[in-house]
Amino acid sequence: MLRYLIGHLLLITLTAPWIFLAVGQETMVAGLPLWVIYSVAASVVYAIFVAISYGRLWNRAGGQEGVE
Amino acid sequence: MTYLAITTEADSPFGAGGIIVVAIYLGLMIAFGLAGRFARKENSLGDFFLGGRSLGFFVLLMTLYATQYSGNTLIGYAGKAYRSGFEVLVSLPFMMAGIGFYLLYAPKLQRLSREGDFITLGDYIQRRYNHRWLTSLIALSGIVALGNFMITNLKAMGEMTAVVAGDYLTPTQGILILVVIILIYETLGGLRSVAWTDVLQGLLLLIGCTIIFTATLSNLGGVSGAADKLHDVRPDFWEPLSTMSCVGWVSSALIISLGFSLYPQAIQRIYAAKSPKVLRRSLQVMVFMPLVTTLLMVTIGVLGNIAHPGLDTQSSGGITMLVLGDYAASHPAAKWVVFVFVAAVIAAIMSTADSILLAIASSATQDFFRPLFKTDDQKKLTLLGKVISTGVMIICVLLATELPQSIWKLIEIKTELLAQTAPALICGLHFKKLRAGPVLAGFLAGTIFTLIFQVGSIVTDNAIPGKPFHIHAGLWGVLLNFALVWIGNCLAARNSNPVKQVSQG
Repeated sequence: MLRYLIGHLLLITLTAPWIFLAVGQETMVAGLPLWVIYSVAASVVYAIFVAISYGRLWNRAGGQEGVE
Repeated sequence: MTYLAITTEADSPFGAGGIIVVAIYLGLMIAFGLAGRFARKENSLGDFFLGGRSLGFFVLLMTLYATQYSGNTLIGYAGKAYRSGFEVLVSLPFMMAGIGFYLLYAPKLQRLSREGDFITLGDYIQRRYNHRWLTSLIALSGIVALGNFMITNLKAMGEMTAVVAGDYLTPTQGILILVVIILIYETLGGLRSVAWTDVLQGLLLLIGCTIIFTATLSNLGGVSGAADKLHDVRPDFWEPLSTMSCVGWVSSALIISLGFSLYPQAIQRIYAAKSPKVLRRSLQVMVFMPLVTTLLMVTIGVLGNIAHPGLDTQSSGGITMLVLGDYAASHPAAKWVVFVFVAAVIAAIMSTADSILLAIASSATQDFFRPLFKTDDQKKLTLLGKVISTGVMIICVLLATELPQSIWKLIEIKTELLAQTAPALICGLHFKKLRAGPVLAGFLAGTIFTLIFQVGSIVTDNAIPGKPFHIHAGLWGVLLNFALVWIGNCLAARNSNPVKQVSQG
């Protein structure tokens, strides 16, 4: 679950358009700024990550005994 | 009346046809309440507040969906997007991440809820820590946070009354009518009725969002055409976010999603799922729902700048209805689109309000009155729950008609308060030796820290920042909360070792 938590936090952080801070505003896709397309796409990637994690980790998360 | 500028005309701007559509919808709500009453298997708290723990995949998905997306999704986000542009797309990750956080606790909590017959989150906290103060404080915090949310939804009900009934009804009369209908179907069938009404409400919400999005884009000539027109009026929306805005983005995504994932009404639905498999599949679909709801409404709000530039904060709250009005004006034959959308907004508001009411009533009954009266009589407790529902609703209606607050600000306080429950719940599930003392200390410190900055920010007009260093006070509070839990637990473990050695010796 620790790896899931790290991946979850990392992908949420990456939905913010950090990489466009230095790129500028000129690049467009279908008339929209690229950073907007990036943020929506990153959100979709995050959703896919969560959906797959539910499939793979649900049983382990449900039966996991406490760790110290 | 904040966001419905087009609706402040005399008479009903919605027309007789619209009133009939809304009346049919409201009649169906009462019919669902009756159906829920007849489907009741026993007169118990578990049956009333959790629908007999028998919600299947589709009903669970729709009730989770209709509960998570309130009127604010359709109205508030669009208004904010109109003013702030594409940066409101942060609502996508925060709606998704709420589902992401569930995986940290839902599988285990659902299993334990079956074993321990839990009704509320407080039941788990009490069984895990056996500390009445901690349980009561967490339950109280949830009730206060939900009370805020209820008031915003009641205010939204009043505002929708102006759309549907114009001068025929005052906002207060509109609130009272909708509240009475909620109380009828909720007291008749409890969560079972609420979940069934949520199916209709969720479908309406989904259809409403899709319709207004499609209508708007077709009116503006597709994505590229709309983007070009928008660029002409708001070129500033094309500028990339600054570093501080990106920090704020991540802060919002984390704190709001954490708060969303700890909604007491959402936790009730985890308990109410028929099986772990049903819950898992519902959540796997739920994580994609922002793409067909939030994303569409943010787009509508941003595009509203094309036909209605220069609206102030108050007027821009009504941008969804203005855009819809444009479509109806250019396509008179498609007036039903407006009817369906308005019904969808009312559905979204009602579905959230009824779930909040049920969550508050269950928490008050189970976490406060049951231990106070020391009774296990299920009939009496269920009746008490219904009486509390009615009392809570009356108080919230009075507050909703008196308290002026912006929807967005209240939502921030709500989620930041709810998020303080995270260490008690998540750490409690995953760390067996965690004790009540550090959890209580962390919860109190995080909540007080959040309240000082949030309330201070409102009272001092931001002289005390609500977001120190561009990060929400609630997120700082959660970090402080987790830190105290960890430190306190380490100290307690260290102090307990010598005792163990002595006792063993």
